[in-house]
Amino acid sequence: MSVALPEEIHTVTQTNSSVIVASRNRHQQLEELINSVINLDPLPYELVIVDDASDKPIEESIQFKESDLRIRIFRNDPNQGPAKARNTGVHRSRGSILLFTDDDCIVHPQWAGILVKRLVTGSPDLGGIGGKVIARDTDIFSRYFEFHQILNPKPHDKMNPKRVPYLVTANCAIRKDTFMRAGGFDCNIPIAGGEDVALSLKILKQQLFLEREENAIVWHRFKPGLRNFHHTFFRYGLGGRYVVDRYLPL
Amino acid sequence: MSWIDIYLSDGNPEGVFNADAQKALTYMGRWRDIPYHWLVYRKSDLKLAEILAFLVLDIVRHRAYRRGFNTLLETKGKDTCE
Repeated sequence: MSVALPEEIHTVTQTNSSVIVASRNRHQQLEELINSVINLDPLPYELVIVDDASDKPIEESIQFKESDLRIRIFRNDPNQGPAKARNTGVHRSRGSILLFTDDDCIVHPQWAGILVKRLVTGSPDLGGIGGKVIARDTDIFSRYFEFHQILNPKPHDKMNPKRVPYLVTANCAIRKDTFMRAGGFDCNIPIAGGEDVALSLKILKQQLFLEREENAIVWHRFKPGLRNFHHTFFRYGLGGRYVVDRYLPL
Repeated sequence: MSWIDIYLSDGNPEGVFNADAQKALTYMGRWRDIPYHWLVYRKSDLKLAEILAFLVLDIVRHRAYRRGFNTLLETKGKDTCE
């Protein structure tokens, strides 16, 4: 799959987009993500990594390949959760377009360009774009996530079939000014669960809408094992309750 | 389908959960939903072994989700923001 990207989009991506990643103790997976970001065409302006108090600091543990990509690493210590880490990343970033993915993902070579194109050419009321998340592995847990499309929000507006009710941090793009007006991720959510939905709801409250872009692809590694599976949905439940109590109804 | 899809879309929680969206969120994963899941899996091209595994994962998923959903009530109010 290859999408034609005009020269203007290459320029905007290279000069104005920041990829933001929060990471904690997943050095090998993060290294795979970095390698995929290095292979992006066009390259983003920078990759901002926030080390959320990994036991071994990322800066000292990962061998960075030589490339044209600016990689900037910041560290939150002690651990403050992914919401706070991503907010740190955004505050430190220099781009006006924020591209979020997770440290257990790898990105398609055109991921950044496609998301930037949709934001740049989209309506001013477009609050953010969500891409497609595909399972990287083929174990039963990955197949289950894939079957249920757990990280792919479903369009719910029949009149606007591209609109989605929320974005996920594994794959989304938001203008920085929209992010700041929304107040960023809610750092009262100290776990990976619900913080992306909370941000989405704050964006929707600004009378903006969110859309889906099928061609902006990331591959996500779902941790195998029943214990991990249970823990994932336990976290979603925790975050879900918080969001329901605090943000709903809109 | 995730909890937020049910809540926000108001797609058809009545049909699936026999409840409005907010209520549906509080009791996702009831035993009586299993036949519905079975039907969905049967209509797909899944093998029998995969269907059985998925049904087990459905139960684990919904039990875990409900446990999380109820746990935050006790911890709510902690402010970890600066």
